[in-house]
Amino acid sequence: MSSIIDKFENLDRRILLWAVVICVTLPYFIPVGLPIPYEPWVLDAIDFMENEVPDGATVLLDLSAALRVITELEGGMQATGWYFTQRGFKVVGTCFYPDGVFEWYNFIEPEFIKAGYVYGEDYVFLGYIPGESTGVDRLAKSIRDLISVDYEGNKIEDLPMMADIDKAEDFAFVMAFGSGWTPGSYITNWYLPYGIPIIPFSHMYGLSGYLSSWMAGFIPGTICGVRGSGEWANYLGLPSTAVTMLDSVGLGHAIMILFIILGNIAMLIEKYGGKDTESIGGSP
Amino acid sequence: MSSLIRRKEITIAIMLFCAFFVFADRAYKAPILLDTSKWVQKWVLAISAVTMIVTFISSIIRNTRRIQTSLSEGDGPDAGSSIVGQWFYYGTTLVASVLTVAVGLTMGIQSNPYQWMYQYVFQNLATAIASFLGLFYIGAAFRAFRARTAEAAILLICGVTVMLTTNPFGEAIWSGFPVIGSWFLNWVSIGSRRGMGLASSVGTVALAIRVILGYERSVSAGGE
Amino acid sequence: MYGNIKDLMTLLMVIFWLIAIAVFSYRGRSVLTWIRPIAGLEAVDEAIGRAVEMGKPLFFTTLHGSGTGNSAFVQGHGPAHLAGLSVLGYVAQEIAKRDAKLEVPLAWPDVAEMGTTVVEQAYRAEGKRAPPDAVKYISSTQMAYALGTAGLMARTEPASILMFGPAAAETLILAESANKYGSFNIGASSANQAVYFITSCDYVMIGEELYVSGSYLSKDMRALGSIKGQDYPKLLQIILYLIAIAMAFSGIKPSNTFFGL
Repeated sequence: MSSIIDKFENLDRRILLWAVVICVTLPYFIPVGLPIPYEPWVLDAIDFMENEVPDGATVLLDLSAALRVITELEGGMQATGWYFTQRGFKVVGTCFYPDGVFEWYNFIEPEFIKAGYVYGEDYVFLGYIPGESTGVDRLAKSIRDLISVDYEGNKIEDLPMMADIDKAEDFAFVMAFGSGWTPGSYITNWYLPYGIPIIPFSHMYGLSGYLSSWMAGFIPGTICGVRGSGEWANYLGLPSTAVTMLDSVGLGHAIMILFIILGNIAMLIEKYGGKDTESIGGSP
Repeated sequence: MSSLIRRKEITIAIMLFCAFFVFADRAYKAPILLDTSKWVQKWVLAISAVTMIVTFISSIIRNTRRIQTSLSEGDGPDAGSSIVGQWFYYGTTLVASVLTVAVGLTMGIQSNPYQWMYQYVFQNLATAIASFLGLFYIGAAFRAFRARTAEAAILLICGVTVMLTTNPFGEAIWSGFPVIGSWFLNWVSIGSRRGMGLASSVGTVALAIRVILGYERSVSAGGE
Repeated sequence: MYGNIKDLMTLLMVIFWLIAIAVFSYRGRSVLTWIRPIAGLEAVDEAIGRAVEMGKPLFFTTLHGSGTGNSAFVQGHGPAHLAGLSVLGYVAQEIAKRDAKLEVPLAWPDVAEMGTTVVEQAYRAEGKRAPPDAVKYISSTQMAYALGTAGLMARTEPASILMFGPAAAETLILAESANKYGSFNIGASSANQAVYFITSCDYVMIGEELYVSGSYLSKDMRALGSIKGQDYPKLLQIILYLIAIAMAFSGIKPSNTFFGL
């Protein structure tokens, strides 16, 4: 028995990793259909967009998410693009990561085209702007002063939609996708000086950073990671890879917790169980 | 002349000028402050864009030098260093970066070859590398969540409770897990993060002031 | 015309900071009574000594801190890189003095250029020539940097690893890799990544300790005086926070008051 406990306490990591890999990939073949509880910060973000933003409002959509987190945010991006078209939002897109260009053309613009949006009248893409937090600050002060042409090469002043849009106060809110602290830069440079609401849409890793802003009332809510993307897509009733991934995340966590608990039980049995008499020094 | 330009006082004066106008624009609404801060920030963005070219060129130079050293197998000033025998990897880096720039410049970044390289090579590599992080998390969690001491036991209880809160299984096992886990997340975790964030912000301001005043000798320019 | 009162209060606070730090730095030795010893910084000498004894390199990195592009200083975590570089100056000088080996993999080209200058200056101060490839620019892409540095650790098996800088997702990879090779590890981060350093490093510094590390190690009286000087604005801030908390508990909204809190 003690050899089993020893083996478990000093478990080869590869066994643990294989167990997690199997649990994470299983839902792709056998849908599990775990219940999806909504996190309060996601509900608050949805509540803000549904009840406090009028139809047809102008929104800044920032896609500053690195490609390495695309699997987490892809479903959320598509859901966001679809939702914006349902509400008739006028969308100005930009990115402070070059990967945002890829994300725009692969996940956002297809939704706009499907909904019959016209470029220049319903949506505009400003493209990649270098200089993360500096660029965010400059964008808030004046778009025209920062860039003169959009990503397609059209002059900003020639785009009908941009006639009344130049600075932060012209937007109803900002939806900021990010894998770094770019959404946080919007809080510092758009919300604090101008009062523009920001909804950070980050990877799971960034959740803890934005929770304190949510608790302080700086942001109406936040949607983070696979979990947030899945909840957002599920709320909108959209079939999405994010919803499937929620099952993977749930099972992966479950197997991790099981191994951690079993490892601790093995450690405690070894510490307080049969080996005590030997450790004192006397023979049984 | 170059020694005059490299004097520490000139660097500090430039830093003070830039910092003052960017900061004053936030506190005092005046057209001259806004215009000057916009001008300063434009230069920041321009320099940031130019560093891409600098990075590319220096990357070519460095990788070429490392390939030469690696192929020389023990000769030269870097003999015995970690780069001997690594010429293949430096060569791959060189070829990939030159090819990407060449395709982008000649065919355009919207062209099929460039988009193919971005979508099917770079994106997949980036995602695969990010997935390594998951493996490290698993290994670290398994090692760290051991109740060897009282503090470690508290860490274990908090960690497992929060994991069960964010997991649908947790609520199914016991309805109290989400309540306790939310308390840990919303009060304990956020409170401590705010404390650390405040301390870091305080340190950032102090360091910035020390650098501007030239008290951080290592990083102030001037060739002391 | 005067902008928001909140921003005015911030401006006044920064002016107070400036004055406090400048005055205490100028007065230096005469005002310095005692600075709390920071275990992680006291252990830097131990890390250097270990590298000397074992004949293996000492690794120093300022981490990545997330972001893209090619400049750390527009990402917003430039100060943390500066803090790391100020420690590098001290470490490089000690390494030069004792003829040990130094490896400095860095994640940003501008930080790498500054790091090269810092290392060269440090070696020159000891009358020696800096090794040409000590400072390495790995990659501005976060994970590529993390895995490149981890690979370098695997190949060189350093005696000590010092990680001083803005930490983000790459922290865990570096900390776990550092732990794997039996080296003596010291981690210092400004943000939320301390938890990964705690699981893997021998000494950890969090929050403000990173930013004072350069001044602390240099033992320069003006720099140490500035550390003392920054305590007074901090004390004032703590008093203002307590007043705001008391106001909030008594139902007054602090942002509506003169404090603009």
